[in-house]
Amino acid sequence: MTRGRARRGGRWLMTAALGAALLHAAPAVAAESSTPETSPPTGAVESPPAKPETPAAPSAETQPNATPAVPPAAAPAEPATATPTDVENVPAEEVTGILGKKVFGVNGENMGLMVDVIVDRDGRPLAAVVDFGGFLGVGSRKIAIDWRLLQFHPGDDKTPIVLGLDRAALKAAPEFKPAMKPVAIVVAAPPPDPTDPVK
Amino acid sequence: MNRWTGPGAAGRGLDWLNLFVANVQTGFGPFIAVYLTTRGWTQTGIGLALTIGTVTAMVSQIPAGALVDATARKTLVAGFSIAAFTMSALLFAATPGPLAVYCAEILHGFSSCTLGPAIAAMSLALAGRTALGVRLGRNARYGSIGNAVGAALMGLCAYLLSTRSVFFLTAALTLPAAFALLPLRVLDRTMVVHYVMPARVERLRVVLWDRRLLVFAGCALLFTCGNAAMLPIVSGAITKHAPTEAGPMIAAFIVLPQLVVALLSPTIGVWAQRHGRRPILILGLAALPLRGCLFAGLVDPVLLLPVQLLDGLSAACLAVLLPLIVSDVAGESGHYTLALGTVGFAMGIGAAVSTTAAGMIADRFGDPAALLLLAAVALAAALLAVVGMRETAPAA
Repeated sequence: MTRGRARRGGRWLMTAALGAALLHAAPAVAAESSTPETSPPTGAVESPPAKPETPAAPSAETQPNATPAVPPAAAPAEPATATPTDVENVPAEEVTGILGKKVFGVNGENMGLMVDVIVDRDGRPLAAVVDFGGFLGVGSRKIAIDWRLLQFHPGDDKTPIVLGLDRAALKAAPEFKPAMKPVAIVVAAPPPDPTDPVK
Repeated sequence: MNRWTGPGAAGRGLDWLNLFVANVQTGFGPFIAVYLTTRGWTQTGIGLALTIGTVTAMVSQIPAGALVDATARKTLVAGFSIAAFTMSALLFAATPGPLAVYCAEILHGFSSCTLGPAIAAMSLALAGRTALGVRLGRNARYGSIGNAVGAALMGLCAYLLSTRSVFFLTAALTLPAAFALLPLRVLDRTMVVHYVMPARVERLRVVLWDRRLLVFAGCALLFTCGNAAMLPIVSGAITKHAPTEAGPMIAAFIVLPQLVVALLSPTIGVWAQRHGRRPILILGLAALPLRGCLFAGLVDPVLLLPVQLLDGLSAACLAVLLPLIVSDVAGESGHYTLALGTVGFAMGIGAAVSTTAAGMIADRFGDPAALLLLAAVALAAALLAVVGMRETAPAA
């Protein structure tokens, strides 16, 4: 009986290691390929209204559309796929996987968990889907939040992701549903209204 | 010595068993989705894992009931079920790889279908038919205390330590549950004599086509259909309207009805014995449409809380009546737990329909419309009980 148990234990460990490897592989690749592109904007996200990256954005209220009419400055995915054998080593404290990480508010309050990332045609992240609120999994809501409102601190285990909003700002945010046709994204707004669903 | 072998020992064991089992079950609820999210699982993967658990629990209800009927050694069944919970919790905590999580879901789904009926059968053996109502009132009281304490402990664990620690706590709490079984072993001997009769197929058909059982299963299905989605919708609305204090408020929404159950259920057990099952059933079912309508009309979370106490009333009535009415119909047929499994299966269908349908309606027409629809389904349950349910209490 003990032997049987030990063998089973070994198998669990193996599958766990495999799962962990698979799980970590995807974000790491994504982070590597996008690091050169996105690292300049991340520094500027400190002031949410400033729009470092998106070309067509005169006011903070404007919504990045799901099908942007603006031609992208450069197709970001291409350089990564051109030479697939190249390996770039990025220091561990420079990058982080984000799925399932806690998201903190400006005042250090727990804002929920990062559950998904919404990207446009070019693979640029538009919004983070954050699972917010609730108690032991009851009553939580998924909310899509403008990517530019997020700051990432890869070296910082305590607060890896910080959102430039507080809990009250999410009050009237529409719930994110994968099947929803126009994706409603919470954006930063200098005037009080915190939500602006895409029409 | 006397404390653990004397005549009251089995009763106390059953009290503690109900408490710790409820404790343990708290960790396996919707919290699993939160936990897997923190382990980097995608929403699709989590959905698959939870579906595996739900489907297992659905298809196991009736076979598990038959299995528990087939043996006189109900404490052994309960012991295996608890051990399966331990395994399941440890699998969640140790290796959140997909295979381990699917196995944990299947283990938990099946063993919750054997444990509930085993506890009901032990209660029947302990109390006998005439005093079963009082015994079930006690079961419900200790179960609800276990639920409330479990939710509080696990909420604290998740908040102060980690989501993973919740599953270590769950696994640890299965140990006292197993110890509580020890004084109950005497029941296995009495059960052979009194409660397992030759289980023949014709007898089974008579039990399952019993009009009282069918009507009660219909009531239970409609009630669950009206009930299951109500707390998720209302607590989602709380998170929306009061995002800063949603966590503690939803915790209160979960814990306070349990305290109502703990206070009411012994009285309800006595009433069910004294005044019959039918009025209590109608009372418990009628509280739900009232609750749904009040939820639909109110927005302020502070006003919602007293309405949520009605959940405690319904839960106390149903917790006592489900094993009691089924025992009236099938208690001495040799098919008691199979009949329980049938009603459990009906409730599983109700719950599945409830969350899917209510979610779709809430998306399209808003929360109040969904709540009113749930209230309408619950009203149908109450009306079915008024029109179709006969008194099942044995004539005194």
